[in-house]
Amino acid sequence: MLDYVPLNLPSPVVWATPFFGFLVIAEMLYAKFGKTKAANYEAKDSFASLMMGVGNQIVGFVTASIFFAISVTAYQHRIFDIGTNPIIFVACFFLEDLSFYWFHRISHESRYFWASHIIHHSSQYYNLSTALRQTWTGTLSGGFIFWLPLAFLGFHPAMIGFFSGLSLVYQFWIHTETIDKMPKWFEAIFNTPSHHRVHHAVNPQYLDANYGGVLIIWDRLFGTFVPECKEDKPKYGVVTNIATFNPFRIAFHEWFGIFKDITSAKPKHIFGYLFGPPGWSHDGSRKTSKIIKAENKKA
Amino acid sequence: MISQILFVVGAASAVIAFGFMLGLSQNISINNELAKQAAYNYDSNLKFDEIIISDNKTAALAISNKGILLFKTVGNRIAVRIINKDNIIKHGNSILFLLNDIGFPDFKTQFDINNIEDFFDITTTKGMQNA
Repeated sequence: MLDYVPLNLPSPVVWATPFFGFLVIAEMLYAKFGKTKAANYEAKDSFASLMMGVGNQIVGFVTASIFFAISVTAYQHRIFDIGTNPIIFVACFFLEDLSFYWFHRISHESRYFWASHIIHHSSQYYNLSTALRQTWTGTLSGGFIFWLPLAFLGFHPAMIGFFSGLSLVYQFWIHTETIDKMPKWFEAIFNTPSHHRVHHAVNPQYLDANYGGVLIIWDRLFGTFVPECKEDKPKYGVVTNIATFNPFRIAFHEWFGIFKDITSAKPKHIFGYLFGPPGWSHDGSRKTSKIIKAENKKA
Repeated sequence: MISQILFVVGAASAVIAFGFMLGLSQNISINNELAKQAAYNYDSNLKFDEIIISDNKTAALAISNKGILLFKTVGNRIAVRIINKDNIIKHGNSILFLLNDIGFPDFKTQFDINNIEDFFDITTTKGMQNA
């Protein structure tokens, strides 16, 4: 077993938290007094989003030790001893972002992971406060497994955690309608408000698209990139929208749905209800995003 | 850690209080057009002609080609579900909706007595036709 040497790196999320608050207030002011009134706010919805963010931090404080202990164990069994030099930092940035892409994509394609991630999509509004609407069950349901290969490869867990936090901070500013498009070169490489509006939209042609964290290149590479179309304004939320601003209901509603389905399903259908795509049903009475997209193409 | 959490909760509450002060909270009233748009977003194959709207205009019902549709306002948005008659409990002109769905809490509202009687007549007749 190899040694684990602690690596002290700052927490980007902790450092950025005060800016989150100021920027949400600034966007609210813009929503109220700006010329375009582009940012659509509902205070009760933003309250729910912020409480989800606070809950995420509280639960994260308790469960971070689980993630860290497992990552350190993986790191102690690492394949390569690559150290922590600047080139490794750069490589870690790209590989962390690639891990996020797959984590995010699977979170939309398998209901088990979707049950945690749906929280982030449960608002019908799209503004900076939506960025803070985060899951309470992500770590407990094992979402961190997507980053474990990095620790096995030899990337230090603190480095992985640092870039993961940095990605979360980056993704804050893209949850806005106040920015239309960034310069072309930027839109080609990075995730932007325009790309992420598509990701949060329920318009059939926008479903299952733009999973990237910091970089949009992964979507271009793996064929999941969809550009925002001016003629087709995004409509936000999920296909089956919730009718509550209660943070506890928001946090657990999909888990409750899974519980109801698997307790009333035949044994052979349980796997489908748990790990199948959201919207899967044994009798075809519900619609997955693939079906919705196919129907839309036909129409 | 506790002081950090209290600080974040306090800051979040201040941000939201500011949002309310700015008047960034409103409830819309359901009408035919908004209901049609919400239904289309929910399932583009849904078809229905008329809706009956609750007295306070925060809920509505419609009979569609896929069953009974329930609409409910959420701020200035609308949430939709396909329900069945078992989810509706009638007490005169007051209706209790029990969906057994924690994302769509149970609620009670009132409808115009004539509208709701007509609505139940229609659903019963349709039920008989389907039987």
